[in-house]
Amino acid sequence: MRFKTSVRSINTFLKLTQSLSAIAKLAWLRLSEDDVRFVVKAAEGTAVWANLSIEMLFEDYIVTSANNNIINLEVPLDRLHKSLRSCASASQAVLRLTKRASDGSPILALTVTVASASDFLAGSTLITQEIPCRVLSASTVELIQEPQTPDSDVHIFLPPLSRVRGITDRFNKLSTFSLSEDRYKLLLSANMAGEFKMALVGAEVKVESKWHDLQNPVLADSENREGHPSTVRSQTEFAQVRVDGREWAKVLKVQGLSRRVIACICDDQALVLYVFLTEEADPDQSVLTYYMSSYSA
Amino acid sequence: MSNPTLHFTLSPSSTQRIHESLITLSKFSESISLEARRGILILSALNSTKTASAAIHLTTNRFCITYNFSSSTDTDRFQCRLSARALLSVFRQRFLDSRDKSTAISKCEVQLEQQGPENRIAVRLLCNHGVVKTYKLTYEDVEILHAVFNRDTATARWRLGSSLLKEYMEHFSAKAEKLAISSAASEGRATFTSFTEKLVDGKDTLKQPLHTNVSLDIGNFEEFSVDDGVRVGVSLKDFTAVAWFAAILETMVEARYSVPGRAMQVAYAKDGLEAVYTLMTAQDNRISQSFGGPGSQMGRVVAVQRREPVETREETPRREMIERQESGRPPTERLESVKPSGSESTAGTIHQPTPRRETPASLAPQQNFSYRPTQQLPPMPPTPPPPPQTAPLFLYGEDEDEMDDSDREHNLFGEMDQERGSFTLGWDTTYAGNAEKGEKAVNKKKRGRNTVEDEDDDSDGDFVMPTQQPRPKGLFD
Repeated sequence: MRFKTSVRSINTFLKLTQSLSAIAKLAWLRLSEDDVRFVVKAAEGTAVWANLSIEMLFEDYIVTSANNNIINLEVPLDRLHKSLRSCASASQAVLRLTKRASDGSPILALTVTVASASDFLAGSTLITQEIPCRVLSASTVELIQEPQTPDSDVHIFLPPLSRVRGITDRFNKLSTFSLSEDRYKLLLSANMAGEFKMALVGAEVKVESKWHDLQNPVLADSENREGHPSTVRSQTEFAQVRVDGREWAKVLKVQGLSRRVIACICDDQALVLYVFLTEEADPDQSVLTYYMSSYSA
Repeated sequence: MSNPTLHFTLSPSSTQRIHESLITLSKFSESISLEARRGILILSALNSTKTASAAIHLTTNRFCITYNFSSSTDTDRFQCRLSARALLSVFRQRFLDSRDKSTAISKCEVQLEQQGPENRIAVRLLCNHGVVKTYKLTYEDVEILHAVFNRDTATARWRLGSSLLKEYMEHFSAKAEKLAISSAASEGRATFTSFTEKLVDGKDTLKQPLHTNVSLDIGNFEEFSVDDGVRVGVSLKDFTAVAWFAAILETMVEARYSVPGRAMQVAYAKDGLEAVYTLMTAQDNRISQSFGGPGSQMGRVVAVQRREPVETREETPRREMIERQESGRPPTERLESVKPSGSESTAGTIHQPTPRRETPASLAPQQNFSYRPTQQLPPMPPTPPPPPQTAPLFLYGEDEDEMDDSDREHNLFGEMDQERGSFTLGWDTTYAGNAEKGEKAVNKKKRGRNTVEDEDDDSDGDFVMPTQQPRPKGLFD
């Protein structure tokens, strides 16, 4: 079992670990010859499946194992994130799977080379961060299933997440005054006519933000356009989900990473958010998929 | 005997320095000692396990605008101890912050007020628009212990700019316990390594803190004269606090040490302020074992073996010492004055459980200790509550029976005063007594948190907010 790579995009990696650690503390990291996958699941129910191309994060990437050259690890996201921060002024950063010399426990070792800034005569500084990790067996990870959702009633490109996040934060602040059980519950709704609404409806307060002139993505040829729920329903009819505003705010921390975001709403059931890290024309289709269930009203 | 007088004024920038000094000291202890002498003011803190001491020396003619100190007849210094939290609530503002004019000050005055039973240290902050904020802080009279450090035997020495040190320290995660500093001078490298000695269960692997290794060219040091292979470990939390303040002062940090098990001194100075830290060092068992031996299990065993005898042998007496020190008076005297807040009647019931507490509060320290042998109780395990996680590193005290020759050299605290002799004797005798009374001692401590000990002022219920540490008086009354 061997894994070694150079970190190509520290910035993307940092934002990724930051976004994911907002959701949960531990991630399942799946390394294969084809892609890199992070999977996290919050106790509150939100799950993220992040499928990234190798080039999105790494270069000079080597992974070998007896299991079809796939390595499954369990990684603490906070420490992975903290260690990546050492790379800020790095000239080189190498990540590899190894064992700690002192006790033989598996670690992801991140070795960062920083050219000395203070003194040109001095040699470079070498920082090694040992991130504890656990190697997962193939049978363990088989039990982790990507959530299944029915075909969405509505799918829509969301406005820039930074704006949605700003408004969500305000709604959440308003929610703190409420004493009802509906506290922090947000209604997210959209239709196939390019409209997206976010509303806080409580006993004391009712606020709503509405965006229009958004795009509804066209279904790919592979999908069954004829019978698809989104094509059958009235264009202006809204489909909605109820989510916890605080959870939603955590999801929105991915804003710094997202190039475009498609929200798929299964009416009163679930919200699936596809956060693409690239523009539409880019052949690299690295995407973070967020799954949130709808609370019943 | 005449009372000492102390009065000094500080510029806004010096007041800011006091604030930063207090933040640094508060990382070591919940109480901060103040010592005034002619020409010098010392703020210091000693951690509860006696493994680290921090002292900020202020040269008064440079640091203060005015400084007046006259000692009492029987001593040349004034010593007291204050709550770190109370001090920080006084010196909390950003005095120099130009954006926030409301907290900017023009001057800070500090005065010792000894009027009748009300002993206070008064801090006056002269703010804009003629606003004056006055704080009165209660204090305890204490004998301050200063760490001793033998510079002659500390042959390892380095000097490093504080901004570089800060840069290196930023890589470390706060959750790791220790920081090892090692030299590979022959290769021109020096290394800072964080590690945690705790044994980790297989399941808890993922809870382990980040372990960080920063290897740098010794060319980054202003001076580096540490023998090849020398490796010492200190508390990462302590060292982080040391580096934090150094970075603010933008100064050169100097460290001197020798071998694991002996103290390291870190010092830096700026504008009439000198910060001196004495940190006990330990061996990095984790690493030395991986260098030295084949199996990793060896190291763990060694680590455990190393701790156990120390804990059982040293912890109890040291606890006793701590108690004495924290109160500034022998424990008995302090406990004597423990009263539930605002209630005289129940005070008696607290006196009941052990005869120790019947000792009159007015006893002089020597007398307190001399009575102890009579207080010995038959051995009665179990012993006191679990000691702090870290193995005691400072073999504390002057008791020769308790220490072999090499141990004595580890002792940081020398030359206490003339009481030392009786103190030492007292220690030995109470060792047995106190060990068995561990549980009771805990109870007493708990009570102490919510009560006051004020032998001078019984009339009003000087109520102290619950704190980690017993205090003699209410802080804000």
